[in-house]
Amino acid sequence: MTNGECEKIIDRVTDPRNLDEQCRQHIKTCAKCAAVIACLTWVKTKGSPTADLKPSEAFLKRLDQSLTPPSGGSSTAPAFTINLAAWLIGIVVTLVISAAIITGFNDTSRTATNPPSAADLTDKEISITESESEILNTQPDTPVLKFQSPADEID
Amino acid sequence: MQNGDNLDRNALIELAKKGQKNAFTQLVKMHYGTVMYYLMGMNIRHPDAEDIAQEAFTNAFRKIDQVNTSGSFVGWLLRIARNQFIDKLRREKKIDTATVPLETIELADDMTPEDHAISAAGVENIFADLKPRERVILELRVFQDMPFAELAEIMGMSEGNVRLVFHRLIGKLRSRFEEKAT
Repeated sequence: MTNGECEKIIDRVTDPRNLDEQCRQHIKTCAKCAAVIACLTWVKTKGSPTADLKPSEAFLKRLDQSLTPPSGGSSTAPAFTINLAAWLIGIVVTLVISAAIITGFNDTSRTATNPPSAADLTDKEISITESESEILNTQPDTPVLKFQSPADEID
Repeated sequence: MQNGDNLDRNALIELAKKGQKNAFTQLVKMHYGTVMYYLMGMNIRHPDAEDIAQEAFTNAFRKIDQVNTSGSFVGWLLRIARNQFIDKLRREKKIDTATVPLETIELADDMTPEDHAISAAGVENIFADLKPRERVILELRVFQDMPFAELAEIMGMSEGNVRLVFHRLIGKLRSRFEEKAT
């Protein structure tokens, strides 16, 4: 029998529910399987491989306290309080930031983009109109040529 | 009050379902090592593993009504422990998964000085150098008769891999057994 088939037999042997007559016959004739079974029997006499770790008294005490049902839902109260506090802090921080942004925006708009008042506009318009009229008044009615025109000589 | 030590596992489960903490404590004592080695097999440090184990046992007590005594109780416990570990990872976004040498693991409080000396010398402790994961596979397969398919699901491995690890483990134990015999 091949090595793989022996492994299948061992798989079956470790679970007694799967141990059938074919397995029993194989074990009787296969030295390797017989040795493994002897080893497994020996292992079982040594006890569980995980039994060396046992809970400490402190662990059992803590566990006992955690198994005690909370009275009046007190276990959920701290969590609820923490959540509520977190929400309140969040809301306050949001409000403060919003207020700061709005206040800052208003100050900036007042200083940088303040529209001119109607009185200022009128003064400027008036001053421009006066200066323009002065220039116009100083201008001669007809243009005066700096040099003689060739047309003067034709006469 | 009944003495839980003398009752078998299913009877303890039934008593725990009725709210008997003592019965559940007996179940905890029975399976503490398997749960701890299972968690340490996922490279969780011993103190963290103990915290997770405590939360897992607490959860198990709350959900004890869901246990079917025809199924594997230890398998059910290990699934809870695994989910507890995943929850802890999600909550904390990280966990210290640095491997801890086996010698730093606290020994059980109820071990006598002789037990400590024997354990340290490796005398008769054929499992001393086994990895936590190997111990769990051996426990579940040989001592709990758990099928490979369920074992693979619990260990988060393929069935083929679990078989491979198991047969290597058997080979290791066999050579140890033959050394003893000669």
